[in-house]
Amino acid sequence: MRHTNFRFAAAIAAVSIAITALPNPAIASPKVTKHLNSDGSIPKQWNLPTPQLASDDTTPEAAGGDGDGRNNISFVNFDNGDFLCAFDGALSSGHSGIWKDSLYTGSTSYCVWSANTTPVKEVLRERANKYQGYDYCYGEWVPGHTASGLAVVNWCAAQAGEPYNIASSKTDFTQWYCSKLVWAGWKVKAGVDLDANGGYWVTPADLVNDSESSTFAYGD
Amino acid sequence: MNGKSYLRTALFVIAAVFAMVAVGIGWNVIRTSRSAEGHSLAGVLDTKGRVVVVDLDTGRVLKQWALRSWAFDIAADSSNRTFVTAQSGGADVDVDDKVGIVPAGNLGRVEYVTLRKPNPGGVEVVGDGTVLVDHGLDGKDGMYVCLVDTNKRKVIRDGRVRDLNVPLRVVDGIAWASCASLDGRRSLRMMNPLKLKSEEVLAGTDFPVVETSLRGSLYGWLISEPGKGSIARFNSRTGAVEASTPVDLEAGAGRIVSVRGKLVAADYSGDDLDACGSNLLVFDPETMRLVKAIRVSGGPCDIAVWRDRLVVCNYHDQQLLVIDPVSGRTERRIQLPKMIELPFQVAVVD
Repeated sequence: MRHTNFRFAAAIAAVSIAITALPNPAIASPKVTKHLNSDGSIPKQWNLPTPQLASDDTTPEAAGGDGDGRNNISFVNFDNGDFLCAFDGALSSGHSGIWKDSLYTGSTSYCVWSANTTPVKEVLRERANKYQGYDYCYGEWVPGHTASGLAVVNWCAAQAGEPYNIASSKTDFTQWYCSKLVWAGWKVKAGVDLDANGGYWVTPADLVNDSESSTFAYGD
Repeated sequence: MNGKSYLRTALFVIAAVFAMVAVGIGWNVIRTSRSAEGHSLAGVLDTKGRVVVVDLDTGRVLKQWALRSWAFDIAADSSNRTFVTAQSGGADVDVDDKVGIVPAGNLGRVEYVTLRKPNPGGVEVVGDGTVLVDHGLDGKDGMYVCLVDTNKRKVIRDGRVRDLNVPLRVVDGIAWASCASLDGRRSLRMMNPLKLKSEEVLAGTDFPVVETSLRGSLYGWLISEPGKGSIARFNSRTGAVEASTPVDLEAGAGRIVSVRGKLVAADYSGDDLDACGSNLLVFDPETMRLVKAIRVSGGPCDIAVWRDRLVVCNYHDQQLLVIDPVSGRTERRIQLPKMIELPFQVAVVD
């Protein structure tokens, strides 16, 4: 009996060791497509509370704040037409870009369309992980209009190489700044106005605060 | 002693103290520089644009610098014992247009070369004192790239690579461009890095990434979607896929290096920094099969080869590890200084 118990225990131990020695076969978290509930409401995980930008901590880290110049936003659930809005404290500034999913194969992919500034002013592509280099960043989608996402981002991409001008009006489609490009794409191809306050300019904060956009990802 | 004597004595003491401090500092600089000479050095880049140089032979941290702006990439040039950084900066007023030259050999001041376009994203060494830089600027003819002579501190040529989608890789003197077009077509382009002329060699639905070479063949990834892919062998002349094996990845398809006749891949993804991975995967290049998984805590985000060892940059642990790829044993843990946060790139000057 004792020999049997010993052999049994040894077998269990051997199997356990063999299992733990195997390479970890865990698979990366799959992407989940964002969608509305059947009653038209937005699921909670795709409609995160948007921290009041005014109250978010923009104090530099050295002074005890959270302004550390980076954030941990995840790119896993971004889709065509979704956009990133990143901030380094000042609410009047920030940076936006719009997502092209077929260009995304990892965080170093140049899959975000935006408009850049001096010394060369033009519409261009940016790396996804560039947006992790700000104090905080929002991932926004436009619920109910996801079918237009591909057309929206392709329209934005078609403006590649056109000049940058921060002072250009929203209706001047010959010159761009980052948040205007995002706004214009959604306005032209989906008829959605993402300017929360309807002013001359549309800022990254306007895109986040607009009632037609929802936050599905956030990094701090 | 009278007042003047006291004053002379005090001045003498002060002067002596200054002299001792100056000699001490000088000695430390000299000693550090001498200790760096001839030693292998690791350059580690963090997410805030800071770099630290570590003497791999002694395990000592030699020096750290705060770069002028956020840097996306770091490369090692053993010919002049420098690390070269792609100073992308941010947007608006934070945008930058430089490569940084970090003098690992003499630990002096970082110098910068002004580029013709902003936001450099990747940098690769192509020859002695020559680096290839790619930018996130997509013009009608493709993404902008340029060749920089770091010894002469100037841009010597620029060009475009159609549909370039991730930083270029230079392997065995050829630049390999992983490309993706707006209509979803993925391809591999082969480029002479000195002439900046490229041609397409492979096209399909998977995203091909060339990472390293071993025994005359090229190895890398075929990525179907983020976090899923196959390890692949590519023909070194034509870029054609000769073999591939699907890999179960915990996080994503990270850097691959060749060491001691094996391929080692970082199972790492920057897509979700809270779950960025914890494995180094060892593959047999002949069978393309996984032979070992080395569990590394803390997010092994980048790997480099130092002689027959792996140098691993650990994202969350803020450490540099030296690992035996055969036994999987961590032979040394080098704690990076507090100033360095979330290190994500490492390069080795040998």
